[in-house]
Amino acid sequence: MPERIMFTMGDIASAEGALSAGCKYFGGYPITPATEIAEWMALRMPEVGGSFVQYEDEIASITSVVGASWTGVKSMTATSGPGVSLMLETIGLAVMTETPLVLVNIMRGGPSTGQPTRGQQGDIMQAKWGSHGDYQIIALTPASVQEMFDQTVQAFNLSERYRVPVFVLADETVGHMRERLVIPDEKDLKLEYRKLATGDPADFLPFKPDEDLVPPMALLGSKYQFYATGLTHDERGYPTDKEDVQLELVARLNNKILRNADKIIDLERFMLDDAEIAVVAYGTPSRSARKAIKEAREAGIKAGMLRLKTVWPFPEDALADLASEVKHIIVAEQNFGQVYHMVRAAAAPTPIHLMAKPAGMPQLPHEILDKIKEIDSL
Amino acid sequence: MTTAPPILKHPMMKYIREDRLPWIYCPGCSVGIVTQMVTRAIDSLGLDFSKVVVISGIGCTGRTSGYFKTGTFHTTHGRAIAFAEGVKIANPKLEVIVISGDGDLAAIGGNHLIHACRRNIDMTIICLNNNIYGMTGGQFGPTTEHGRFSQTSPRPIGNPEHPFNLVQLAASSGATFVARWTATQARRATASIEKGIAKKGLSFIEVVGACPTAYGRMNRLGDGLDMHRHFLKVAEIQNGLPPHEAEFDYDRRIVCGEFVNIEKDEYTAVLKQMKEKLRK
Amino acid sequence: MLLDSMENTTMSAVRKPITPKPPQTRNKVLVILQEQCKQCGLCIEFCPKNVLCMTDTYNRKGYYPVTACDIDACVNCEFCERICPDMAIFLAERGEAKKAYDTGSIEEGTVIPEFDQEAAKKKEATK
Repeated sequence: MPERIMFTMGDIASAEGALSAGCKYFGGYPITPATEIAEWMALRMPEVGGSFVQYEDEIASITSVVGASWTGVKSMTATSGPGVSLMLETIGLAVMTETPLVLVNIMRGGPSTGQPTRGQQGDIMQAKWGSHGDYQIIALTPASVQEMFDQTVQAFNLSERYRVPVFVLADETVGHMRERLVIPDEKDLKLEYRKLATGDPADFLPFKPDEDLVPPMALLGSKYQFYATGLTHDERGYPTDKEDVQLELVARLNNKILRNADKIIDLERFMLDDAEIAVVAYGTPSRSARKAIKEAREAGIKAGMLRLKTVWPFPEDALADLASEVKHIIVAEQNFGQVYHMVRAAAAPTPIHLMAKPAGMPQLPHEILDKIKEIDSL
Repeated sequence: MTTAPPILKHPMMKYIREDRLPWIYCPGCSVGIVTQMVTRAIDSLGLDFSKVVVISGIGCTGRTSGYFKTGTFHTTHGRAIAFAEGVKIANPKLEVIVISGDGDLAAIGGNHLIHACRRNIDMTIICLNNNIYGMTGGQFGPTTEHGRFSQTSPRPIGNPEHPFNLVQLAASSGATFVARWTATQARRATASIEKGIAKKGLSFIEVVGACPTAYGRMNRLGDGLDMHRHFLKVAEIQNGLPPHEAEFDYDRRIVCGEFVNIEKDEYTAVLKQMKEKLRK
Repeated sequence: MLLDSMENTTMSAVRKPITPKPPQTRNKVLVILQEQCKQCGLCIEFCPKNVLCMTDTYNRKGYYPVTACDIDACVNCEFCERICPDMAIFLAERGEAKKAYDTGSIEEGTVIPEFDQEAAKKKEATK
């Protein structure tokens, strides 16, 4: 399909991104503010020969996505905070069985039912720590409608490359805002697909990793017989309670992402080269910060922004570097302080200032500007 | 020098992962009988085994998927059916079989069970009903009879709840093939499983089994042998009976047979039609 | 002789066939994997011809496995094969089983009662 231009909302941009990436299965459940993704998919999936199913609850949705992924189909679901809370056990299963899938979380006011029609960024820690046990996932944080498209395509690529669930964490403001979207020609998109099993089925070990710590995947219904389970398993996929296998498996599942972090992490450095005060932000607050920084510069303050486009794996090294470049760091997020703690750990002893706003309206540009001025005068 | 003949093996061994023998089941447990029943059904139908997918949940019956030598998946508790739906819808050419226990399918998985029946997705659900949560030590479940003793309804308290009639549940939710047999009626159960797999639509086969280690012991029902003997005594075959009359009373009467065998729109067929209509 | 057999029968309501049925031969032999048996007793109980019984020597796991006490009564109904929860007892084609038995292509602890009986009879005869 040739390039298309739409004026549309973030949710729909994400859905179109998934379709452009080759997603052919969507299992979902309506939840404000992600319902538009499901509704768009209901119409578009049959058009592209894929399947849209509305399930009875979020748990069925995500579990069916795991199942569909194992047949070789790129699969996704879209939900909000309360839905992710329900899906967490299955995220654990996906991580343990190394299933590629994409989960779009249009974050809303919380905790609990919260404020369904108001954006917030309260689900950052949940994406990484929500399920039990030690594991890594990848989480991307778009800040515009175009990025909703681009980062959803990227999410599919990363999930296929590393056989891991990838979250797209967008707040409701980005999800529901309408902006110009350019959908590139299919030929211009770089898409990735999982490594598939090769060789003799008799010798095949479904969980034996390659050099990059990712095992080639056997699909259900292929000539490769394999047994996948959420129990701790050895390379054959058979459950075991041996300690050494457990240690090795947990280490590999985590290192698979951590050792490849440099290939995953995406950041934007805005006016940071000679900055003394840096704002660390992602999603909607980063848009306010951008304006605030421009105005601060006009006022002669050396301010800049490090915009996180990836929050998991957390860009610790980039923040440690930033800490040595600047004198102060402001973290502006629409929650009570989540990324803030990660920044503090990575950027100490540079002073970190938190602008926390767990509410529907993000930090406004003048609020961030006032904070920058306040810190500048210290 | 003549080559030695192949090692003498059980005729169904070609469907089983031999390196995982012996199975973990207790002596006298019915799960092993059901595992063999499924291999026989697949064998009689002459299916391409690489296109058969066996999915199970958590529990003793949930371990069966690990013993089949094809693509199998052991999912989280209660979610086998949801997983299976994803597999079938994404690749309708696969033959999807769900083997799980009464606790896994009817308690935590109850919602997925009734909705899958409602959608009439082409898959076969084999529920081994031993009236207890066996793997975790013998707690009562959604099919444990009123007054029975278990780890969470100990003597003298007994189970305060009343059980589901799974046949009735599946049938009223919309399953198009529903049957119940006891594990001792091996041949008949295998025939129903075969029919269920061959039929396009949601087939639900309940196999009443024994858990001598937990249920049998706590309720003084004897060992595995006694329980299987008892099944044969109280099983009453009533093919075609309306599902709500398919009584399950462990002590007196377990009604067995094929109760529902109807035709209804199958879900993946409907999806396919929709796709063909809208495909640009 | 045909006449002999007819003289011996009493006049009964059931009509017996005029041509006697050929004697039944077993096409398959019983094979028991004694190391895999868990002593559940189901095959012994449900064998319609009471062929099976328990041994008195236990296997590696500590179970007393099953053996055939009356192998000649076996009618190859295959119910033991179906009811065994551990796939430890089955029937195999006579020819295949003989070849495997003679060349030792059997798993450890495999017992084929009919051949063992034949071998025991031969030993007796040669004494």
